Parts: sequence; C-alpha cells; structure tokens
Amino acid sequence: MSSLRGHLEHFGLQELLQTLSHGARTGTLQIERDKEKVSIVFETGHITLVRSGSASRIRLRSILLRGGVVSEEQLLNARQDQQRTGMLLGRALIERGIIDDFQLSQALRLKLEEELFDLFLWESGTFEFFPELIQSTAEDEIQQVTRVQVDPMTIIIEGLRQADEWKLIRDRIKDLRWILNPVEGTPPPAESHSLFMMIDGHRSIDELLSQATSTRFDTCSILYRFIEEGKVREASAGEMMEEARFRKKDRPASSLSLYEALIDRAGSSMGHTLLEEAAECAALHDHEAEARFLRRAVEILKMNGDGPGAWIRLQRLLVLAPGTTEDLQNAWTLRQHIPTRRVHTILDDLVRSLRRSGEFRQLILSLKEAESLRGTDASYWLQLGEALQRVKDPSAEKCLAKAIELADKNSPEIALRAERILRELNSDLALNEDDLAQLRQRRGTIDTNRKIRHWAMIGSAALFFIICLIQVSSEWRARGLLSAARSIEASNIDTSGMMSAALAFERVAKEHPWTFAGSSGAIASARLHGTINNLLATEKTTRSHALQMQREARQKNRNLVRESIHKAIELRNQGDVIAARQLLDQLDPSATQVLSEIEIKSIRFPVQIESRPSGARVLDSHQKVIGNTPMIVDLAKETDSVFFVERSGCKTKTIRLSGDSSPVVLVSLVRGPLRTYTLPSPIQNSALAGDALVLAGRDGLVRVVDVTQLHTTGEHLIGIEGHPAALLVEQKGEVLAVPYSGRAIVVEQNGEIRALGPTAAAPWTAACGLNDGWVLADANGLVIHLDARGKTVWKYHCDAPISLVSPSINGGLFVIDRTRLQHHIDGRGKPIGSTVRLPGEVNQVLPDGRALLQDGTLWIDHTMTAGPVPSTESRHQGLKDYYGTEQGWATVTGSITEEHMSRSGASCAPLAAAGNPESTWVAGVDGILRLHDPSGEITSEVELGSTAVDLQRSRQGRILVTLADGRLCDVEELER
Amino acid sequence: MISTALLTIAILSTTCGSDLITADELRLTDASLAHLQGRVGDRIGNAIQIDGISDPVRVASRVKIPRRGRRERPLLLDLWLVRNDQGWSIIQALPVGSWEQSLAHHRARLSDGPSDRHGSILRFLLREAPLPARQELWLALHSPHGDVSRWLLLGGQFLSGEAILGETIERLGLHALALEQQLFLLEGRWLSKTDYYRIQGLVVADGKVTDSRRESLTKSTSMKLDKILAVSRKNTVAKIIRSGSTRKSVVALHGSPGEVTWVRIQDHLVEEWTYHDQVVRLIDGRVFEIDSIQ
Repeated sequence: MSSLRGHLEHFGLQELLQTLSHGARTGTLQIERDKEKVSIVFETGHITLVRSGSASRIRLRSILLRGGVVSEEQLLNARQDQQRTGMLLGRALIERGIIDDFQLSQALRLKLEEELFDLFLWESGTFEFFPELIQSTAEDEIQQVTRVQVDPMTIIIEGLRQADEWKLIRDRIKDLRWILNPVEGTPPPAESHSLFMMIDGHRSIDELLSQATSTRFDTCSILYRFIEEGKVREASAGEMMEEARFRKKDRPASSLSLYEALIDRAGSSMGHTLLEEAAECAALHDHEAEARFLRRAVEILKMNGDGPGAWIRLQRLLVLAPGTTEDLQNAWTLRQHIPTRRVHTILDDLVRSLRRSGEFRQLILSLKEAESLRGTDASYWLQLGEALQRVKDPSAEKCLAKAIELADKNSPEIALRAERILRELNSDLALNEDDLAQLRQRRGTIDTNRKIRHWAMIGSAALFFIICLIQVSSEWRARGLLSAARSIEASNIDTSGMMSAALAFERVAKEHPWTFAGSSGAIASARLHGTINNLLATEKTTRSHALQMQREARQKNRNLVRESIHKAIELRNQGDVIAARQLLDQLDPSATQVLSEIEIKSIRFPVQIESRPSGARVLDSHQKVIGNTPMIVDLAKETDSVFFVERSGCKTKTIRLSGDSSPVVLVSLVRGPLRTYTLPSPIQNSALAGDALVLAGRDGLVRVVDVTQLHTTGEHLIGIEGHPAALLVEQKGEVLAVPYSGRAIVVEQNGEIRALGPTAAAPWTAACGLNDGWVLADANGLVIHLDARGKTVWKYHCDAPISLVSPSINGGLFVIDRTRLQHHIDGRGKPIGSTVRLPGEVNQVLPDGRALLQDGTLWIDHTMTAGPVPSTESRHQGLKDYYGTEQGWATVTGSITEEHMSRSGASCAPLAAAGNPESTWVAGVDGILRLHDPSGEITSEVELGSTAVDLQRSRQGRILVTLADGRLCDVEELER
Repeated sequence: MISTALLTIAILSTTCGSDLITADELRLTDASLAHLQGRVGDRIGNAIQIDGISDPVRVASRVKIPRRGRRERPLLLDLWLVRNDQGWSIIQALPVGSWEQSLAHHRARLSDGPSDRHGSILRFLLREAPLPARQELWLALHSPHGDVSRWLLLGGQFLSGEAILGETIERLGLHALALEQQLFLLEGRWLSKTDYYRIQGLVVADGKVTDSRRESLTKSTSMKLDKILAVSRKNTVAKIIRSGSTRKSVVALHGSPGEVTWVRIQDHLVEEWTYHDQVVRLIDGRVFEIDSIQ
C-alpha cells in the first residue's frame, strides 16, 4: 500500500529525496514516465539500490572499462563465463579474480549515482512510495552484499547541477541518435583527445556515450564544448541517410534508430520515400515500426493525392496489422482506387471492426457511403438498420423494412432478423403473423435444404475419401505385387522363369485392374509373353534338330554294338572266353541301350568254369550234369545261376555265376582229412618212430599213437604238468623224448620205451641225435653225449645256458649257447677250433655249419646272406631246408634262400611232397594244408579246421598233421 | 669348519698343486689332494658313490652335496677330495659351470696329458657327455690306424643301442670285429654285452653266464629253504592259489604258465611259474610264494 504518490511536475525529485532522506524512510520509490520505470530503494533514509530495468542506459561494463579496472579481453572472457553459467558479470569478474569486492562496490556506486542523476532530467512523470522493499533480484543481492549506500543529499546537489547544465547541452544536442562529424581543418582539442578521435561521422551521440570512458553527463558536456568551439558539427540529413542505408544490412536496429531520428527531425516536411525506406529497414526486425512508418507514408501519399500509391502501401499494412480500423477506414476512403471485389471485402471488414469497437456513427456514415455499392443487398439494409437502431435513429425502421422487403424470399434469416428488431422497436412496419409464419416456414425449408446439402456434401466427401483409400490401398498392394513380379523377372532368364514372371504380371493386372501398377503389369505381361513365344519357337527348332542328331547317333551305335556282339559270339565259339568277354565288357552300358529290350536280354556273357583239380562235374541248378571242367557256360547279366562243382573225394562246391562274373572262375575243391583222431590235450611237439607217432604236450605226458590205426598205444608221464612240452628228437626210427625236468626216454619203433640218461640237474634246453646216440644239453651249459643205451660217452661244459645242439657232418656237434657262441665239438667231446660268436639268434644250425638266424640271415663262416624272416622252425629234408614265413615258406639250398608265396603264412615247418620233391606241403595259419607245385601254384587244398603244429609223413605215404587243438589227422598225399 | 676346509684347500693346492682331473683318473693319482669332476650317485650315510670311482668316498662333515630332484640325473660336480687314513674324503662340492668348458679342458688333456690316463679320460668324457656330444666325441676318436677294437668297445660301452653305433659299424664294415668285441646285434641295433645279457635275462655268476631268473630263484630260495618248505606243506583246497596249492590246482585255475624255470636245491625241486600278471613259486610241487607283476 502506497503512502506517498504524485506527479513530478508538482513535487520535484529533489523534494522527494529530501523528504525521504530527512524522514529516514525505508521503502521503495517508484517513478514512471511513459514506459520507463525506475525503482529507488531507501533504507533508513539512504539510497541502497536503484533499479531501472533493462532500459537503463548505464552499464556496469562501461563503468568498469571507463575506470580501467578491466580490459576488453578480460570482459570478453567474463562474458563467456556469464553466458555459460548464467551468473552476473560482476560475479563472473570476481570469480575469475579480475576484480575484487571493493572494486565492484565502487563501480556499482557509480552506476547507481549516474542512474539517479539521469532522473533529475525528468520534467514529468508520476511517483509513488511504498513502505515495502521491492523483491530483490540476484543483481540486487550482489549490490547489497557489496553494501552500496548513497546519501540522497549528495545526489540532490550534484543532480540539480547536472540538470541545469543539461538544459544548456540540450539546446545544442537535441537528439542523441544524431551523428556528429568533425569539422574539417580544425585542430584537435588538447583535452579529451580520445573522445574527439571517436567522432568519425559514423557514430551517433548515443554510441559515443556508451563507448566513452567518462560518464554520460561528462561526455555530453565535452561534446557540447566541441560543438561550441566549432570542432564538431551535427551530420546533415543526407549524411544521416547515407549512414542509415549503410547500416541497414548489418545493423538494422541502429539503422532504424537513425531513420527514426531523421523522421522525427523532418516533421511535416518529410517525404514518403524516407518513410518507406525506414519501413523497409524495420521490416527486417520490427514490424510494428514498419506499420507505423507505412501509415505515415499512406497519410502523406493521401495528402499528395496519390490514391493508387497509398492503396499499394495499405495492402502491406492490411497484411501486417489485419483488421485495424484506422487502416480499413483509410482503405475505404481510397475505394475509388481499389478493385470493386476488394472494396466489398474491405467494407465488410470495416463494418465488422466498427461494430466491434462500438463506433456506430462512423459505421452509419461508412454504410451510407456504400449505398451505391450495396443498396440492393438486404444484408446492407439490415446492417444499416441495426446501426441506426443503436444510435436510436428513427430512420432505422425504414432501413429494416427495406431489408425485409429485399430479403423476403431469398434470405428469410435477414427478414426474420429485421422483423425481430422492428418488433423490438414496436414499429408499424412489422409484419403480420401470417407473413411471419410464412417466413419462418421458408427459413425452415431453406435450413432443411441446407442441412441436406451439408450432409450430402459430407457423405460425398466421405465416399470420395473411402474410394481414395481403397484406391491407394489397391495401388499399394499392386505395387508390391508388381515389384515381386519384377524381381522374378530379374532373377530368371530361362523360359520357365519368364513364364512365372509373366504370370505374376498377369496377376497384378487381373487383381488390380484400376491401378497404375495394374496397367504396368498388363504391359509387362504382354511383353513377356511375346518374348516367351519367340524363345519357345527357337527352343522347339533346336530340340528337333538335336533329336535328329540323336536318332542318327543311336543308329550308328546300334550297328557298332551288334557287330561287337557277333564278333564276341565267334570268339566264344572258338573257346577264347577272355577275348569274348573283353569285347562284351568293353561295350559301353549306354551303347547297349540303343538295342531293343529283347536284343539286350538275348546277350549272353560266356564264363569258363575251371576246377582244381580239374575234371570235376558241373551240374546246373536242377542237379543235371552239364559238363566237366573246364567248360563254358553262357549267362545273362544280373541274373544269378547256381552251379554245383563236384569231384570224388572233394567237398562239392556251390557257385553262383552271372554275366557279371569274371570270365574264368576257378573252383578250388577242398578236401578234408582222411581220418581224425582227437587227443585228450593239446600237442606242442610230435615225432615219428616207425608207425608210432610220439606226441608231447604241456601236461607232462608223452603219448604214443599208432598211425595205422590212429589210436593211442601208450601214455608216459615223463615231465611235469605246466612245464614246457618235452623235446622230441627222431633218429633212425626211434624218438628221444626229453622233458623240461626229469629223465629222458626213448620210444622205439614198436612203441616200447626206455629211460635214457641222467635226471635233469637243470632244465633240459636242447637235444639231438649223434652217432647212433643222443645228446642232451641243459641250462647250466652242460652237454652230455649218451650212447644208444644211455651210457655217457662224454660231457662238455659251456659257460652259458645251451640254446641249441645240432650234429655236424663229420660226426661232431655244434653247440650254441645263449651268448650266441657256437662251439664245434668233435665226436669225442673235444672242441674243434675256437668258438665263434654268431651275429644273431639262431633258428637252426645245419650239419655243414650253416646257421639260419631268427632274422632270416643265413650265416656261413662269417658270411651273411639276407633271407626272409622265419616264422617257424626249419625242417631239413633231402638237400634242402624248409621253413615257414609270414607270407608263405622259404627253402634254403646251399647259400641260396628262396622265398615262396602262399595264400597264408605257414604255421609249422613245410614238408616236401613225396612224389615230387619240388612240390611242397604248407600248413597255413588259416587252417588249410596246401600243396604247392614247383611253380608255386596250389594243386591241392585240405581243410584242417585248426592250425597245424607239425607235419610228418607216415610210412603209408600219408601226411600226419598234428593240430594245435589236440587233434591228429592224416591226409592222402597224392592228388587224384 | 668350512673355513678350515677352504684353508686346507688353499694350503694343499699351493703346496701340492692340483690339476683338474676326471673321476676315472682318481685311482691313478698319488697326490693327497685331488680336484676332479664327477657325477655323484647314491649316498649311504657318510659315504657316497661317484661314477668312475669303484669305491665310495667319504663326505666330510658339513659339506653339502648339490642335488637335483630324485628323478633327475645327478649333477656333474667339481669336487675337492683329500686322501687320509680312511681313504678319500670330499671337502668341497660345487656344480660344474659349463659342460662345454669341461669337455674342452679334458679333450685338451687327451693331447697334452700322460698317455696312461687317456683311457680313463675317454671313459669319463663318453660317460658324462650329453648324447650328441658323446656321439661326436666317439666318432672323432676313430682312427683307421689306431686301436679300432678298443674304439669299438668304447662305442659299444657308451653308445649301446644308439643308431650311430649301428650306422658306423655298417658303414665301416666292422661286423666281425664288433662280434669279437662282444657286441651283439639285436633287432637291428648293436648292444653292449651288459645290455644284451640284461635283455636276454642272463647274468654272470661265478664266471659263468646263467639265467637270471634261475639265479635269483636259487638265491632267494636257498637262504630260507626250511621256511618255504614249511609254508608249502600247508594243506589247502581253496579255490584260489595260495601257499600249499599243488601244481594241478595252479594249472586248473590259471592254465599253463608262460615261462617256467626251476632249480634243484638239496634234492628239492624249486620252480618259478611266470604268468602275465603274477609269478608263482613252488617247491616240490606245492606253492610257497606268489608275487604279482606290476
């Protein structure tokens, strides 16, 4: 609530300040002039704050710069901080350490004082004092923190002095917006040189004040002195105009300020060009100013009688400030220069504007002026009637009656409205009830029609919208399909692909016939169909040509095939099965396809059946004899035929043959043993004494079997069960059986036995026959020669266990110990020569001193010959030695070792055939005994069923085979 | 004590002189202080075995012998030995810095040193050198006009089973000489007699070569014959093999053994039956001991 208020004209500022200061008042004094408002805060009679808002022309930065407290660069940096953080300039400078609190306080005091001094120039205005303090801002708080306090009395004295001087200054400097120019040829002043240098004909006085380093008052005083001294002059209007134009582009605000100054000074003598130029400048940033200048220009043009020119500017005004009554009235006055269509609009706008502003008299005048234009329009008379009725003019009734008359049928609303007003006026001109009812009915009809039209319009719009929606949707889907069809077309270059694409295009055209995409689809489909037809025609021609070529090639092939078949039949008839089959087999399977099915089925492939032994009967699947081996059968391909091959003494073999079988099929007719005798335990060694076969196993027993009857004639326990089997040595129809421990026995030809030699002192490790007697050797290195009755002939001691003893040619003995030393002993037990170290483990030493080593090397008197590695013991037979290998068997003759291949590695030492020493019986590890002829071919096979341990030949000419599974069997040696 | 030992070394080395020799040469030296290089072996109490020296030597108190892990080859050491009434004693042992330096030193001694020591130095070098160096050294020693038999023997001794030995014998056609020098060719490799006997299960006892299993059976049985006889005479009918089981039972349960050996001790037949996983020992046909084979 204010406690003091008034006008500055009646109660001056100095009196106000004195009163508040003497009264030690606290509160806020607000002074207002035009749009300017300044608040002065008093605290116990002292001024602590002056707030003049953004309008204040006193800037802190100017004060700081003026006092040299900060530099431009420091200010710039502080401004950047200010913009970034939002803090005030003073605070930013303190934060940066550029100024301190005291410097800021001083600057603020100066600012406050200058703002107060400015107030003394105010000759008019209102003031009001509130006991409350105004709400403080951040800037105020800074000021309060810095504790600025000013005594009003000081301000009053200085303020009044400045006010007096200002009056003088204002006589010379009337407008601060004006530019000053230095007078040419005048020397620069001795003082205030820098300010003088700033006067360059481009800066206005306001700009000089803001850039000067002294206070506004002081600066103005100096400028006043410069003008008085003739050093400076005010710029001419032309110079001002030039500067204003120069600034228009880059500094439109300052340019506008110059224009305003020019316009103000020009007064009534001003031309519309300046105003339009100023409006053009204001259009860039201040439309209000633009409108102001344009209005003044329109006035001038009107006064000059340039109606069209005024109307042109008015059009811009009506855009800038539409509906402004002043502009509309101006436009109305210029109606004779305005197109009629536009005049009606302006009149309507003017009527509306005047009615809104309640200026009915002006409205009546304007409407009356428009009678010639709208005198036939019912609404015109209604508007005029209404306006007249507002100013209570009695002619309103006539106008309304005319409106009813004109509106009667076409515009019942107007008639009804006029009627209503007439009724309100109680006029006699009001219609009777019947006419009124008729009017209302008409209005109802019109309303109904209007509504129908309105809804029809809405319905049509809705329908149109739906159709558009459907069309757009259809187009959208059609475009999708079209795009898909185009991708099909792009990804396929063959006919079928193009066909698919054409179908896809057709589908687009068919499903969306009313779309653009549909029509594109139809065009593309037609194009593709054309291309496809061309392609198909080309393909057809090519295919028929190719078919012709194929047909010819087929015929040629058929002739060739038939020729080959005839030739093959001839060869077959000549007995050359292999050549015939070669011809037939070489026929390309695709070539045979050129023949008819009957011809293909009639081709027979010859197969020659051979047997070993030959001469076997061949029976067909019906057991009917079709011939003897070797023979040829003709077979169809892929059709198996069963044949039986049989021969007396052999197992019948069933074979399955077809045209795909090899041209020559060899059937091995495998025999079985003649007899088989099963022993109670497995056998490790065997030896033959006449008709008695001596067998030794790991059960410690030595069994004697009569080979003629194949039955055991005696069992003799000479060793220990679990120990290695007894060694068996054959000599002159007797067999020496040497157990691993215990005493040896001799089995005579008749199967009788007798003990021989001493009981073992160490394991017996080797034995052999020597000079009708026997040699035993043990693990202690002892070698004993016994005569036929078992009496010791001599003993020989070695330094290592004996591994082998073997008689030598000269009645001596070779002894090999486990350190590989070979001792040669004569028939009396005396060593012959020095011992020799053999280069490897020995397998057998032959009577002539040759040593067959375990690695296959044949060692003869320090000379070594490599041979196949033995896999069995060796057998000396005739002039040869035989031993089995992993691949077959080997024979040693002299220093030559020869390896022979068999179907299986040998399981025991091979045996030379009786009839033909060049033929060899080889017992394979696969359980088959094979007879190999000198060329290595198998001429007979006997299935044993187990691996053979030993082969012996009985006096009956049979092969006695000892098997590992404990069986003994005999095999007829001679091939049938 | 250490300082005393070092002082002794210093005094003795100045008074007696002490060239660096090999362990194999120790038996040839008559000095009272020896500085040698050797590889220490097993230590039993205060005595330690050194490769190349037949008898163990004593280790002076507080002398630390550098060692490696149990499974690693012992270190080659620089040893200071002092001869006293009780024989040689080690008074200092340090690891040899570099084998290459030792090799160079001892090879230089081969050309400069006394000829009676050449054999010992060679044995040391061939024994201690890493395999590549050993092969190189052995090949370098070959001289067609020298003692090839001796050279071959050294090769067999220190390169037994190595491919280089076989290749060299093959290349130089020394088969017969190799056999004379008791080298054995087994499965394509030339072996020393020791290695061959070991592989063949032979040992030398009382100047005779005998089967190692029979020898060990004899040794192990003869000392405790009464005890094993008593053990074997237990009557048992168990379905497992145990002391007292008969041969029949053993065969019935395990089948025939892979290998059998036997010895006769005081009219008792002692057998050893070897199966793939165990060894069954019998006396007079009855089991007295069963050992599993790891």
